[in-house]
Amino acid sequence: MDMPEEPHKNIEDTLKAYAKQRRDAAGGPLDMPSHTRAVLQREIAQRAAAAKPGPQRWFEPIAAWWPRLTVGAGAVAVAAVAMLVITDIGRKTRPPMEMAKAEQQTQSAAFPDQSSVVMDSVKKLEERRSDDRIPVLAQSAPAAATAGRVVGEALDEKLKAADKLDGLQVATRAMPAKEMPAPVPPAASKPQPVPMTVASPSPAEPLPATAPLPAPAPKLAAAPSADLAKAMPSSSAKMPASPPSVPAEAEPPVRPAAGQFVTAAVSNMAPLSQRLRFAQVAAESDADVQRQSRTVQPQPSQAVLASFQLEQVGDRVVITDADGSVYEGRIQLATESQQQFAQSRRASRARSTTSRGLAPRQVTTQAGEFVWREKDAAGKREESRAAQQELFFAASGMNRSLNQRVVVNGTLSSPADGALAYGRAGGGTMTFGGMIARDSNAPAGAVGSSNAVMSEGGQIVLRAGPVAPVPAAPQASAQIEGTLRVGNTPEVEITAVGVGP
Amino acid sequence: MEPTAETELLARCRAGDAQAWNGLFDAHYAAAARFVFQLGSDFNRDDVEEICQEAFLSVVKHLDSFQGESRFQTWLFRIAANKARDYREHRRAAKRGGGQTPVSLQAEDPETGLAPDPPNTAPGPDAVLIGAEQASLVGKALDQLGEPCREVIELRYFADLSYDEIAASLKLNVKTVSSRLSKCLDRLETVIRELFSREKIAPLAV
Repeated sequence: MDMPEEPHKNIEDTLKAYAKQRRDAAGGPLDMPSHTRAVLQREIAQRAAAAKPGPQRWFEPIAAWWPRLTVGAGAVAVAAVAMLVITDIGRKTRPPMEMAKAEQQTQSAAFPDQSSVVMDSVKKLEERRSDDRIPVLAQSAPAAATAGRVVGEALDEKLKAADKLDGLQVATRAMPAKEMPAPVPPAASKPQPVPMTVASPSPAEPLPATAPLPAPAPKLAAAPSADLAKAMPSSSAKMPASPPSVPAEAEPPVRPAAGQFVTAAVSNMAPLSQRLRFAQVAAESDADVQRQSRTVQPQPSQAVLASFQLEQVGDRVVITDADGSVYEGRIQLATESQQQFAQSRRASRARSTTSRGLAPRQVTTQAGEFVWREKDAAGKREESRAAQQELFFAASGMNRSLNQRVVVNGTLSSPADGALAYGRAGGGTMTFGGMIARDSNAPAGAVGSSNAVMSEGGQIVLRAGPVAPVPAAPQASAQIEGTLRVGNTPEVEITAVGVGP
Repeated sequence: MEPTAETELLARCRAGDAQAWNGLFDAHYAAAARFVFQLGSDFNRDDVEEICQEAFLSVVKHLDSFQGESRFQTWLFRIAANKARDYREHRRAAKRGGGQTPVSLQAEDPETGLAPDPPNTAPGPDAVLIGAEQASLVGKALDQLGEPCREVIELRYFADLSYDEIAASLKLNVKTVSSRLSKCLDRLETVIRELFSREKIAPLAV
């Protein structure tokens, strides 16, 4: 685009004349000389050869992209670390209450079916109980009161099963002594809840609604409900009076007040309140012991868990061996297959026991000797076990003495038939002669030095009075059956019974 | 050359097609040589040939940097102008350093014993002398003018580029090119008038 508006200048004429003169001076056509073209073509060929890509190697793309790959990998790593840190901080900042909730959710998730069933039953029982409680308090008919008590016991059992904690649920009801319900035989299909009835010498005094139980009270021996029904007096007048040797003013503050009854139910699902000592059952008979001592070299597993303490904290189980070795693990409701396996082992052992007779078994503990009598070896124990649920546990740890790893699996059960009892050799505190509830030879009041009195039907009744040692019969009834593996040695079966708290 | 054809030709040149390069040389060498010949009043064909070789060599090396914002010939002329300036400065430096060996026209060839007698196609001695004097003064005036006036004047009057082409080549506004060219012409006129008055030579007649 020319600029016609530009004024013409003389210098332009001079420049145009100069340009024309130079063009004329250039002469003929100006073509590129051949040597110049050759130089240029050589340069073009060199550049084309340099620019021609060679065979690409596999690592060249990676090498070309390594800065971006490095930056990307670093960004991913930083993001991952940030997420971990944030997650960890979130866990740490959770309040303890949430931790407790999470644990309970986990536990309930482990037993979804049973907990839901139990909770449904609890709701129904609560409704029934609320309906029944009013007539129980309003009327003094023994039958109605007894029905309310039975429902309350059932509720306690269900609530206890839902909690799955230490197996102890205490229901306290205030009830005048004159309204002491007549015992009604409960259904035979519900033998598990075993009430412990404590009679007071002054029944007119009311019992606080939240009166605590004496500490050892939940540890009393369990008895079948049918036997309990027999042992229960029909009225308060038939209740055994307190021993005259016990002064009324010596009643401790934790003892229930007069005229009140404290019903303690011991769960068969969790026989351990907190901790319990166990002792492994020795050889089947003295002859077996002698034969084993001659033929078999002592194995390291024989020293392991010969006497130990088992502690249950939630769903954790801690086993402390006699030498101080600690084995930790988890405890849970035994699955159907585990229960079947345990029952089959139990049945086979019962058959062998029956074939050999009923020789007493010696259980050796660190503190003394334990006598285990299994008079109804197969049948009654199987019946009682069929009605209860067992707990399966698995624990492992390092044995201090052997410096080997110990793995123990087993089922923890608490038979309610009183087939097991324990005592201290030489101590003479007491030794139950077999089944407490069924043994007709056991006299009433055979509980010994405690103020608990065993009735004719086998029920243990605690009378109000000064605190006295109470036998830990439920712990004595607890039993562990399982397998033990020490190091690389083969598994051996073990049977241990509870010998005390 | 049509813009589309020129674009395709340049694409083939970028791909290393030797025939495309030959076509590019044939299309632009003559114009570039004539342009270079005007850039120096003392340039002969050998000088133009050498300058053009350097200019095209630079094109081969830097064709990828050509963005197509102007015509290829405009880009080529700017390269040639720069190469001509470098050549002129280099030769001037050589003169100051005595880089040339004078050859006597009367000296006989040692082998043949004949004296050189090259043909002369130039105008007559007086016309040549006057024309050379005037062209030399215009050249001196352009040299004294310096950049950027020299460049815009060369592109406008020696390369015969329009204002738009100059603006595209120099990446300037068209009005800026017009204004700059007007000012540069005024300065050149002043310089030439001074030189011609000093030499007492009449300006070139159109």
